[in-house]
Amino acid sequence: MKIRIERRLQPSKMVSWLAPITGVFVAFLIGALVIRIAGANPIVTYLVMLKGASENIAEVVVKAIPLILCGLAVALAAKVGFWNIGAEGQLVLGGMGAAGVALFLPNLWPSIPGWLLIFLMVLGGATCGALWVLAPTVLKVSLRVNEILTTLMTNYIAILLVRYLYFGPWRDPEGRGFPGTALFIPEAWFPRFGNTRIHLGLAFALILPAIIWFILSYTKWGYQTKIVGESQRTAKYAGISVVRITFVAMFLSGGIAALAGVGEVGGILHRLHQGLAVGYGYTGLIVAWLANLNPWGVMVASFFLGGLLVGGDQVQITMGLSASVGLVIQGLVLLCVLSSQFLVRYRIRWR
Amino acid sequence: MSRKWLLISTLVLFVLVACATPAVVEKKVVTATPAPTPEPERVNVAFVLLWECADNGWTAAHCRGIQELRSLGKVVAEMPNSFDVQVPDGRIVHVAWVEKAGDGPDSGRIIRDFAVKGYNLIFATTFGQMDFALETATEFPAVAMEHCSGFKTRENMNWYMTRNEHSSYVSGYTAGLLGYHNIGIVATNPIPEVIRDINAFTLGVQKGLRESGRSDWASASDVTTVVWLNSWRDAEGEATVAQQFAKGGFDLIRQMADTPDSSITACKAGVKAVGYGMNVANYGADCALVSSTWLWGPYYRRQVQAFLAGTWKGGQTHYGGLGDAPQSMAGLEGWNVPPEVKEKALAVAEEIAKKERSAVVKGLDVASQDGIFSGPIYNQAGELILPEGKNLDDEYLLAKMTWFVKGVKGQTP
Amino acid sequence: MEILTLSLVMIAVRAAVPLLYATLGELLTERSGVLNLGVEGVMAIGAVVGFAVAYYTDSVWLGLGAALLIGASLGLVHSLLVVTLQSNPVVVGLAMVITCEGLASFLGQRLGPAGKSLVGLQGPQLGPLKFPGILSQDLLTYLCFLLIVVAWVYIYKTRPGLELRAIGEKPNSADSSGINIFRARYIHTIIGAGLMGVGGSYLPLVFSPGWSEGMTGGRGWIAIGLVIVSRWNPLLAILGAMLFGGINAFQYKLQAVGTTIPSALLRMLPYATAIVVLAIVTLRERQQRAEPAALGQVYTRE
Repeated sequence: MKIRIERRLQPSKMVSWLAPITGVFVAFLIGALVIRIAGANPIVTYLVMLKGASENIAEVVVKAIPLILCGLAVALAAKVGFWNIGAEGQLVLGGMGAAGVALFLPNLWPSIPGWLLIFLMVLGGATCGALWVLAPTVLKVSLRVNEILTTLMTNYIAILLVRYLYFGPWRDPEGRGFPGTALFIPEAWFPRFGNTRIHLGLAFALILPAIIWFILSYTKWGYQTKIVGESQRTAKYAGISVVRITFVAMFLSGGIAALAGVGEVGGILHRLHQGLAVGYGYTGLIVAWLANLNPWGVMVASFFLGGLLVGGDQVQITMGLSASVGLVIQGLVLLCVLSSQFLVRYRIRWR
Repeated sequence: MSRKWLLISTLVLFVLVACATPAVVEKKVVTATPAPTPEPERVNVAFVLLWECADNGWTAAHCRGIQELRSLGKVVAEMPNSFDVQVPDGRIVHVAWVEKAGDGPDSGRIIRDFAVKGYNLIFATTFGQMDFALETATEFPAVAMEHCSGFKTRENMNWYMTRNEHSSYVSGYTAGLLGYHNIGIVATNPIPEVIRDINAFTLGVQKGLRESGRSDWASASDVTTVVWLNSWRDAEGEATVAQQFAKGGFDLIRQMADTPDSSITACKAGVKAVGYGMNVANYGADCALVSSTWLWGPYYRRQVQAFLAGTWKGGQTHYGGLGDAPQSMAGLEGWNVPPEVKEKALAVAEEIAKKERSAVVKGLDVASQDGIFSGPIYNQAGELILPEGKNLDDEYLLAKMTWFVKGVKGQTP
Repeated sequence: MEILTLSLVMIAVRAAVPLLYATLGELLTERSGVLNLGVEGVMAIGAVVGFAVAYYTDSVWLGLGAALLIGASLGLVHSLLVVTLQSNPVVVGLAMVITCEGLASFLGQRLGPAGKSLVGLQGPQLGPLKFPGILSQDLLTYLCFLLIVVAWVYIYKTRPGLELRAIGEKPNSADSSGINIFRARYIHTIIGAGLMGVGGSYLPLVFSPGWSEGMTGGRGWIAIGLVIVSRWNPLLAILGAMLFGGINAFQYKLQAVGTTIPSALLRMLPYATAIVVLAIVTLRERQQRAEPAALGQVYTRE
């Protein structure tokens, strides 16, 4: 038997749909082996996961909100050729900004209307996140310092900075010395939908992908972004300011990732404490690439991964199987979907 | 073409067969699903844990407490993360736990999920889960909630905590009696609980030094030196700090992290250690003089029994030390000192226990009676905080202790 | 103030060794033109597998061997995805990190006796050799420095090294002069990942007593930074690794001597330094390029 690999002259429509699905399937097969090795029945495990996720669909949505925003942030940055590994730090800074507004503004202006307070929390958080990505962007644009490393390092710094705040100057004076800021006043709590933990952040998570998709597909700026992402040299020849495009895209990216943090702080935690940095920024990377950087795909991927994580809890609660199974499958799905792209570009002939 | 399909289908078949082979634990798995609605004869108890039971520290101590619930009756079913105990009156207590729930929003979801699933009594076992526990307790007023190491209560939510300062004081005293006076403390996070422990330990060391005739050492400003890890556990950091202490000429290392790495590293480097959380001698730190440990079992048994008897009450606080009845919640385990030193230390422990018991009987504030934080106490700057004859009370220890006593070298936030 | 004492240098050396193994591995990989960002994940797997094997066989060396092998097989997966299937190396690397970290945590909770956790188990450990003063280091440390010298000689002084540099710089002309590019990339990625695995296993087998989750603590990423800082030169990597190892130990030391800088801010020091050093080195890189020109680029023969 001989295998020959040929480049497809035209990417096949069917294959470009089938390939990722096959990838997900293969990932679950490999995952099944891992679960089997762990001494559990993979089919039962997957069923428990599915059941857990579908019974807690509201929680899947809660989980998907920060994932959509982080995934979108990563995808947007990647569109201009910027590897934003720093979504986690930008998320944390967003939470910090929102918390700063929610904690201190009502003291200065006690009669502030609730909607304005929430609006300023969103604005403050997004600004902090956008500014946080400034240093890596400047370093990348001016000196071409590797942004993968700088954005990653700024994650550690962001987490430590916020930690310093809630252990030190921002610590709740009534909190009996425990780490964490004071609980926000109720006006600063994001409205929730019905009896669930789904909060205002969902609005951003649903609207922003649409806006970004529209900008990228139908505006001049979107077109220029595409060129910059494909080839900076071409962009320069075409008279596009690579620096300007990169800065705008990165400010947006940082701001969007920060909104994830704003939502977590305003909608779930209602204060700043160690529960903020739980890795949504890193999962956002998987989301973005599973979605192939497509804003709509980001939404689909986020709900998928959110379900995987929520279902993972159930596996642990009812089966005693470690919740990291969910993490392993996440990574495997991404790896398999990535390698499935090969089938889109190439044809394998068997003789 | 046919070969290709043969190959692919063989592969898929292979994987499927490998997956579908009945797993050994499958039977248990099916029974593991708890009853969705609480039947009258079934009581569901859940524990939401920070790390894994094998962390040899904080979570391990809670897991040990959970296991003690087996003694409530006869264990009738055994599942991976749960067991059923039949109590003498015929009812079944289903005890389940989730490891590595953390203290973020995930823990909130897990706590709420237990409530939704019909669990009657839920223990949230770390400070960071406090607000989530409160939220669920508010949403499900029929659920009995217990939260460890926080400060908030509700009509259906209690908080509980060990007076670890009792055992820290006695272990410090032991070290002082043995003449250790240049002690490195591998500290975790600067919160009152930890600061209180470090202070009690240092006061104990000073008492021990004075009683062994080394008042000069006892009055030094650096009896203990604190280095913060800024983390509850950090294997690499614990080992690095312990190595630095050992190489920097410190004569004893006090572990405070959730994991025993600093104690083990100390022993390897030839420096004695004082363990924390669990008896670290069982985990490779065989040089440890003693370990101050958490004993949650008595409390868990008591609360579950109260719930079964219908006498469980919310809005309570429970802060129990060496003299907590019927069994102490603060432990001292793994003694590895000369018998006469141990005898002296146990005498001090017994005295504290007696004072706590009598304070509880009289309905008095325990901290102001147990004699640990009693004046004169100076702060690091040498200012008198508490004059002779006065005592700090529980409220002060829990909420206001954000400073170090004289003799501690290190920073507080 | 006995800040710059021998003890700090010794701790810096010990902290540098796991970094150096990983850095050397990444350096060899990148020299062949392949970018492997999965270092952190490979180290995590190396740590857990190395410790588990050492624990059951009671032999540090078998543990190290296992870490080397598992690392190498992850390298094989990486090169399969990147070299053969031509996937984006950055995304594959990130995906490898996420998968491997999940897998390491999963294995760590399962590989202990009776399906329990590995945390808290006492395995065999490699102690320092009985040499005086700073020379009292373990065998792996000596091996590490030896390997670095060997790698330097290999890259700069041998014929295969010359070919390796050609592959990383100008794969087209290397190919036309008859060098098998795919084979070379596979070999270097596999060996490189094997070294990363060894670096990971150093942590539970020498540095800390036993395994715990997340013990690699971002070292993999620092190693990638060190490759850039060392300008793809193994000898310079020693300096960088010692600097990072030293700074981390130094911030604890500052606390012990009674600094008033908040400890939370002190902990930022290693990361902030990393950014500054990267920026400085990149400035130099602009004057004189050291990065392999074909790094991270897909090579196809057509």
